[in-house]
Formats: sequence, structure tokens, C-alpha cells
Amino acid sequence: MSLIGQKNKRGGFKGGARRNENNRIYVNPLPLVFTDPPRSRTKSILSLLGISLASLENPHCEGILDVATNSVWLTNTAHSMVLWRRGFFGKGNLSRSEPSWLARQINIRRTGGNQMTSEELTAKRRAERQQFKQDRAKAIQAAFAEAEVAFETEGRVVKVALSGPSIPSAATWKPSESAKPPSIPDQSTTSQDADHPVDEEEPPLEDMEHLQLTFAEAWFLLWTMDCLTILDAQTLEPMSIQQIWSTFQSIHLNPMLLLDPKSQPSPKLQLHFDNPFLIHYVAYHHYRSLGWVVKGGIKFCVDYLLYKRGPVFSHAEFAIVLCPVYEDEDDKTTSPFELQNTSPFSWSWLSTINRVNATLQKTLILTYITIPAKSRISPDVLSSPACLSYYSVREVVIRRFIPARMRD
Amino acid sequence: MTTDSRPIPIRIANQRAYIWDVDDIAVLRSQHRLCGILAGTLPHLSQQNVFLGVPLLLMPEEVVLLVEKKFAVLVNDPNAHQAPTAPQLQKWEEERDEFAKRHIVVNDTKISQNAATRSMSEDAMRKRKERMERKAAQPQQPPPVDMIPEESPAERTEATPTTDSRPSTPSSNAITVAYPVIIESASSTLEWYDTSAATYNTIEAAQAAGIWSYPSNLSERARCGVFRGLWEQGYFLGGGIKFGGDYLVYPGDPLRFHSHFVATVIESPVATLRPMEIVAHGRLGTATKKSHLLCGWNDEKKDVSYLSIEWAGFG
Amino acid sequence: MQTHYSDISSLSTKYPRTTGSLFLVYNDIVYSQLWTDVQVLDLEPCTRAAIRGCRRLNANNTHTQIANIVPCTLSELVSLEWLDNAFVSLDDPPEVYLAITSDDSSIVYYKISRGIVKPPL
Repeated sequence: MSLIGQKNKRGGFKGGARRNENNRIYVNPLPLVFTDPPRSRTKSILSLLGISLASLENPHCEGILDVATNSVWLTNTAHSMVLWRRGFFGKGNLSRSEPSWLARQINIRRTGGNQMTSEELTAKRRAERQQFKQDRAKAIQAAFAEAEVAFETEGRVVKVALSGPSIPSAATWKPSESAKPPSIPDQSTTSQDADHPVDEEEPPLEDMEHLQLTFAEAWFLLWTMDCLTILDAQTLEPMSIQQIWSTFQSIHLNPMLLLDPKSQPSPKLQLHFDNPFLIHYVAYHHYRSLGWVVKGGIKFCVDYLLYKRGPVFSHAEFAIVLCPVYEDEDDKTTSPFELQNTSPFSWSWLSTINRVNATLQKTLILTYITIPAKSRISPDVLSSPACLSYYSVREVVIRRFIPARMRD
Repeated sequence: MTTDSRPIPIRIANQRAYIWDVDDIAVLRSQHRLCGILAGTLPHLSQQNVFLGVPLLLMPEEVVLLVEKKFAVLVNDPNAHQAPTAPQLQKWEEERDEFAKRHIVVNDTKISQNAATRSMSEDAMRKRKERMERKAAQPQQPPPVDMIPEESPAERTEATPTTDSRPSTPSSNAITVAYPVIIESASSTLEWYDTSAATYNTIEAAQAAGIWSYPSNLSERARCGVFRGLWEQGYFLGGGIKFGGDYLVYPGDPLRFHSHFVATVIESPVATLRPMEIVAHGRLGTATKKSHLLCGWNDEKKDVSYLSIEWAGFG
Repeated sequence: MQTHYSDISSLSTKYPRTTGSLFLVYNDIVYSQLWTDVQVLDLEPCTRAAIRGCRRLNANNTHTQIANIVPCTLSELVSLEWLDNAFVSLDDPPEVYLAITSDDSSIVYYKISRGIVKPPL
């Protein structure tokens, strides 16, 4: 949620106002927007006939291919904001979601950290939680010590209560003034610092952040909506769709080739059905076309997270683990890739990811993607994105069943 | 609690290790820091999944540790049950009859004492006494049919003594008295249970005899090695599958302490580790206030190395 | 794009396969986590560069702690031996931070300590 230009209240809007603000900013689910022409008689007549004069607004964003990080970068702030606000595509590389690094730095300079971006709020919350844990642990230790003393001196057994008036609980604890988020420099201290001149003498901040799109996101924007152009990193020339399609696949095969500018022009691309880019894209396209907002799930030990409207509206409901399945087992042994999760999980691993997600109230979904057999379909079809129709996707939802507790 | 220094017999049946003797269970927990899991049911409880009874089931790693340290021996349980000799069997049956008769007499005496306090027709009392004598004299026949211990005198009819007021009695000669049949939980009370020929005091001997096979490969050896390594440092260990690991590591008895660590066994220093696993273990640890231990077994040097994983707190 | 790599360019060139994660982590540490005295070290046994810097532990800059970070991507495969080599090459610090990066630029940091280390609180 953008915090530049917000009111001066601490933390910005509250509750309903924030919701309305979000509904306004994030009203478009995709970068392409239909604009309605102004009302006119012609329009009314044509609309009776089923013809619309609405035109399509295409933001035409531009990004640069970065081979080293397997992603596409957008450094133009306007383009980044459009892609983020219309569909939550991409992630700021110095932020938790929306590129807000510049905003945070400006906040620090201007207001000393009184208005907070989500990163700052998180840091503050973490510091407070740390403090709460320390206070609680101290209180519990004191209570146990008292019980020990009571037992030793009087022989009285005191049952130590882990909740109660003297032990801080989540509901009753209040942060003391000294709890400050550790990683955000305080304006008052940095102004004392000799190497950090204050106010007007500071050079304008250069935005060190970019919006990073995964290959799957970039291909989705480019192929289904044609609203992204990708420039080659060396020449800064826009790449053709064919070039992009081959590059996205070949990076997984031999990244060295593309990193070295002096390398020979790439030899004929070896096409494999189990190229990690293709597998990930199949899943990404599947869920995006069903209307979900799909984001990366590394923080929850899964491959993707599904949001109903977007990360600013609610927490993710579903956590997706991709399980590629080879139609022909021999393809697995001859494959140059080492895809993860192709063999059945151990119970221990399944139990682990399920538990991680259950504690965060997310439902685990195993998404099985069938990789077509090389013997049945020639890999040459992979030279065009039409090959995606050969893959199939099935989902299995996993929930732990505890007979003692789940009686209804 | 026994202060026996005899090695604890671990009864092996179908490659699983059971402890049936309650005193042994206590010794294992208090002296040897091994808890095991109770796997038997208690007949008096209707919900048989919360409180359980004997036997205690031991993890294979616990068994290997106990035998290697000479705290226990392995007993081939099926083989220890010999066939009873004829005199042994007769003696056993006689004991059961005795018990049954005594129980019926005691029970009926109680009833007649109770009934005597109520007003009953003399006729009914006479009939009752005749019936009791007849029952005591008759041979016992299984299965016993449920008896109605208290009959209200008002319901008594002129019915013959061998039928009672319930229509479902199968045969007119069946015993209508219930007596409990006690089955001892430990076979060691039986005369014909003999472990002398069925005991093994090393893992290798048991493996050679075919009753026990753990550890049989690198993965199992690694688990034994790590288990032993952690145990020797003074911890209590339990099963860890619910917390995404192999073992839960407690600083003291699990009834008193929460575990601080979840341990995962890595079978060799070069076994592949996926960063995703580190994320999962670290994440679960944060959620449950435990640290995750990666325990690496080195099969050549036969030692264990430990790495603790925790979320960094930033990022 | 090359200008962004200038601070770490020599080690990037030496270890091209891991340059992506190094770059992401370096930027995060310098610009977002705001560590000081950040330097990049050669970690040859792990075929990558590592990052060493001063991590601030409270708001007033009074407590800092030198920390070492080893970056890696989600799709790589490591091992206990690899982690051990990292410890040794970094002169046996009590703990090393593993920074795991994903292609959407998310980074998760985990602290790896040698031996059995009790969790705080």
C-alpha cells in the first residue's frame, strides 16, 4: 500500500478508510484496462446492437532481462507501479512486496520514521514481539523462582500459573518507549553522525530498487496481454517473442552461455518438456487464468501462494507445491534437469510442510503437472508456446485430520 | 520398583520391541532415560486413544542402544511360549475353576444378604436357596450368560428356577451366573513361558537368528548413531514426526519439560540437502519455539556432527 | 545493469553461476538491512562469494555484531560438508547466516550454528 502522500496520522488510515483506499488504488485486476468513451447518442445506439466503443488501454511497460537472477527487471517507477497496482505483478527487490524502498528512505529523511511502510511496521512489530517475549520469560522465571523459594523455606508447593495478573500476555502487554525497530536508523542519531549531513545538503536519492518479475510473470504479461517489452541486457534492443521464448528455456540449460557476452551465438536449443521454466509457467498460467493472484511462496516452504484479490487485501489462502509427474519414467533418467518433488514425498516432509502452512492458516495444495512423454510427442513442439496445451494439471488438497478434535 | 540389576527383557514379536512389565517400564524411564510409547488399551476406558496401557513399544534405535549398553536383552517372544505339559494345563484349569466357584459363592452370599433385608415370601426364599445350591454343584460351562444380580421380589413369578425372567436365555441348563475371567497381561506368570532358550544379548546374535534386523543399511545406522550421540549427552528423546523431524530432544523428562530441539538425521556429510528443507525446518522451529538440529552421521569415522538452524530474525 | 554490479564485480566474474544470489543479497544487506562495513569475501570451497558486515543490534548503533552471510538459490543442492567448508573458510565463526534467494527476489535468512545451540527464550 503506497504511503507517499498519506495523511499525517501514525500508520496512515485505519480500518474502513484504508480498505476504501485500497479498493480505489487496486481497482484493476490486470494491466489492460478498458476505458469507456464519454456518453453519446451514438454510443447508446451502438450498445443496443451489442457494439462497444470502449477502447483498450495498454501501459506498454518495458523491462530488462537479467540472466544472473533469472528475472526481468523494471527500473522505470511508473511502469513498476502500474504492474504492481494492476494485478500485483512482481516484487521490489529491496522490499517485502511493493517497491517501497525509496519511500522508506524519504520517510526517514523527512519525518524521522514516524510514518511507516510495511517493512518498517514489520520491523517494529518484531522488536515489540521480542521485547514481549523477554518480559514474559522474565516474569515466568521470577514466578518459578518464587515457587522454589516457597518450597524450600516453607515446604509449600505453589502451582505456578502461566497466565494471570503478573505474567504479561498478548492482550495485556504494552510496549515500553525504548522498543525501537533495530534496523531502521533513527533520524535523531544519524543527524549527529558526521558522515550523514542533514537536510538540504543531501543529494537527491537515487532509487536503488527495481521491480523484479519472474520469468513466468514476464511471459504471462508479454504473451497473454502484450503489455510488456523485454530489452536485451547488452544491446538494450527489444527482444522478439521467439527470442524470449528460447532464452527463457535455455537459461535453465546453460546459464554460462548467456552470462558471457563473448560466447558464440547459442547452438540449437535443446528442447525438453521438463524445463523448469515450462513447468512453473504451466502452473502460473493455470492459476492466473482462474483469477487468482499468484506470488512466490519461499517464505512458506512452498512454490506458490494464491491470493483471492491480492496481498494487500487478505492473507493467502492456499499454498501450492508443484509435483511434476513424468508420463514416461525414462524421460526422468535422461533429463538434464534435476526437478524437485518428482518422487513421492516422505511422510516426514509432507508432515512438515503441512504443519508449517497449517499454523499459518493456509491450505496445502499439491499440484500435479503431467510432463508429456518424448516418445508420444516430439519435443519440437516446444519451439512455440502452443505446446502448453500438452501439459495437464491436477490438484490434491491436503488437510490434516485429527479424529479427537474434528468431530463435525 | 525393583532394584534388579538383571538386564531388562525386551520381548520381540514380528520385529517389534515390547516391554510388558510395568516395573521395567519405570526403570527404563527413570534410570535409562528412555520413554517409549504405551500401545495397549485399558478395557475400563471407553475412549481408547487418550490413555493407554502396557505394552510399551520401543523405537528400534532405543532397542539397539539398550542392548549395546548391556541394559537389556532381546527375547524371542513367540518362541518363549512353550506348549504346556498335561499336568501344567490341568493345574491351570483347576485354578480357574476354583476362582470361578469362589467368586460365585461370594457373589451370591452378598446377594442373599442384600435380599434378606427385604421382605420376601418364605416360598421365594426357599426356592432361591435351592437354586443357589444347584448352581454351586453344577459344572461350569462357558460362555457365561449375564446374570441379573438384583431381582426385585415383586417380579418373581412361579417360574421354575432354571429360567429367569429374561426371555433371551439360550438353553435351560446354561449357567446364568457371570464370573470374571482374568487374563494376565504378562505371559511371564505362566508356568510354560520360558525365555532361557530364546534370549539374545547382542544385536548381531538376534540378527543372525532372524528375529531382529535393525540396523540393516546406512540410513538405519545413521539413525542409531545420532540417537546414541544425543542420548549420551544426557537428553531424553521422543518421536519427532509431528514437528517435521526425526526426534524431539528434551532436556529432562518429557512430563516436566518441553523439548528445545527437533533433530533430523542426515545420513552422510555429502547427502544432498535442499535449501527448501532448511527453510521448512527453520520456519517450523520458529512457530513452535524450538531450534532445529541437523545431525550428520559420518559412517567412516562413526561420529555425529551437529548444526543448529534458527530463523535469523531479519530479512 | 553492469553499474549495479560494480561493487562486487570481480567476484561476480569469478563465480558467474552464483552471481545472481550474491547480487540480491548484497543489495538487500547494504540498502535495506543497512549493515555497515560490508565486504565481499572469496569462499572458494563453496564456489561463491560470501558477505561480511556489521549488523546493528539496536537503534542507537551501540551494539553491532560482525556477521557472515553465504548466499544460495532455492534450486541449488547443498550438503553438510558444504556448510562445514563455509565455516572453515570464514575462519570458524560461531554462526553463519545462509541467505536463500528465490527468482522473485525474496530472500530468507537462516542462522546456522555449529553444535547444539539452545534457542533464545
